[in-house]
Order: sequence, then structure tokens, then C-alpha cells
Amino acid sequence: MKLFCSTYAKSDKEYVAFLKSRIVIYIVLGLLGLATIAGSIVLECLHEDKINDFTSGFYTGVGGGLIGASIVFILRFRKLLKDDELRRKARIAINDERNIQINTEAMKIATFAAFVGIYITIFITAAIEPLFAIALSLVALAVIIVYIIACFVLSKKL
Amino acid sequence: MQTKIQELRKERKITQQELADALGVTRQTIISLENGKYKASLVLAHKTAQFFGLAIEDVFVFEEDENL
Repeated sequence: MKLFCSTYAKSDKEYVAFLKSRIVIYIVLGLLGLATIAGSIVLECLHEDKINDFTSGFYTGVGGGLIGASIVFILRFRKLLKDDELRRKARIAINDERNIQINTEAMKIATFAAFVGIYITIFITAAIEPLFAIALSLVALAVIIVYIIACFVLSKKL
Repeated sequence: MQTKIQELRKERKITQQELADALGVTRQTIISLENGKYKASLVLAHKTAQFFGLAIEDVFVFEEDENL
């Protein structure tokens, strides 16, 4: 868990370990992006008449996005690993209590906005495509369950 | 919450960046503390007071009716 949460990286040694673990994660995500694009091409070749342009474009876009984001983050983290001063500033910035508070509050607002958006989408799509509405409802339910479990676990820990 | 950080910092001829580096926070946090916009945690308040060699009450001004 510690390697996935940047706020646990208090010392330079911990932060270096965190950066290295993140590079591995982004390599995996990049490969996933590549696999998504490859899968889209294979699907198009095998089932040309069944796959529409939107689906094909969607998979290509997602795969390309994952590859692009992975490259950007890997390059950024490699730069941080090489430059001690830049790494020190980055470590201070992610551990800064004011920045942590800003991120936490912003996440609360974004989560609320997401739930409002999900509810409106469920309300609209229930009449058009019930399966989509059900899928969205299950996603919302899963988020609520994770929230309840996280509250329970954290209340025991803190 | 008002603080005397700016006053104490200028007395000792320390820049905001130097203070930020000493306390392990960003310069933006120091600016927000000096403006009274941000309420420091107990750990940061203690670190700040220790840096200036003063008690917390001498650095951070606690108003009687303030909702802490």
C-alpha cells in the first residue's frame, strides 16, 4: 500500500522507491494500451461487419491515451530520479499538508459531481437502454460499498 | 487564524522560500499561513514555533471566538 500512496514517501529513499514503482506501473499501463489497440485491430480484421467505427475508434483512442499518458509520466519520473533538487521539491510538494488538503477537498467535490452525473445519466438512459442504466447503477453501488468499507477500516486504524 | 510568521521572518531576514525549505512545506503554504488563509496542523505549528525558538501561542494568534 505504501508504494502506491505518494504521501507515505517522507524520505528521499522512500520517494525514489515510489518513483521506481510508479514507472513499472506506467510501463504496464502502456502495454495495456498497446494491447487495447492491438485487440481493436484484430477485432476489426476478424469481425469487420460486426464492429462499428465508433467501437473501433473508442478502443484505439483509449489505447492511445494510455500509451501517451504512460510515456509522459515515465519521462517525468525518470527526470525526477536523475535530478536531486527537482526530486526534493517534488517530494515536498506532494507531502505539503496544504496541497494534501486541497486535493482531498477537490476529490470530495469531484466525487459529488460524479454521483450527480451518474444519477442524471441513469435517469435518462433507463428509458432508452435499461442495460446501461443497470451497469451504471452497479458502478455507483460498488463505489458506495467501497466507501463504507474504507470508513470502517480507517476508523479501526486511526 | 492570524499569525506573526511574516513579522518574525522579516526580523530574522529569512525569505519565504528559506522558511518553506526549513519547515518542509511549499512557499505557497508559507504565503497562506502569513495571510491567515490556512490553518496549520499541530505538527506544522509546532515545527514553526520551534524554528523561531518560541511557543506556539507566540507565533499563532488564537482569537477567543474562533471556530477551531
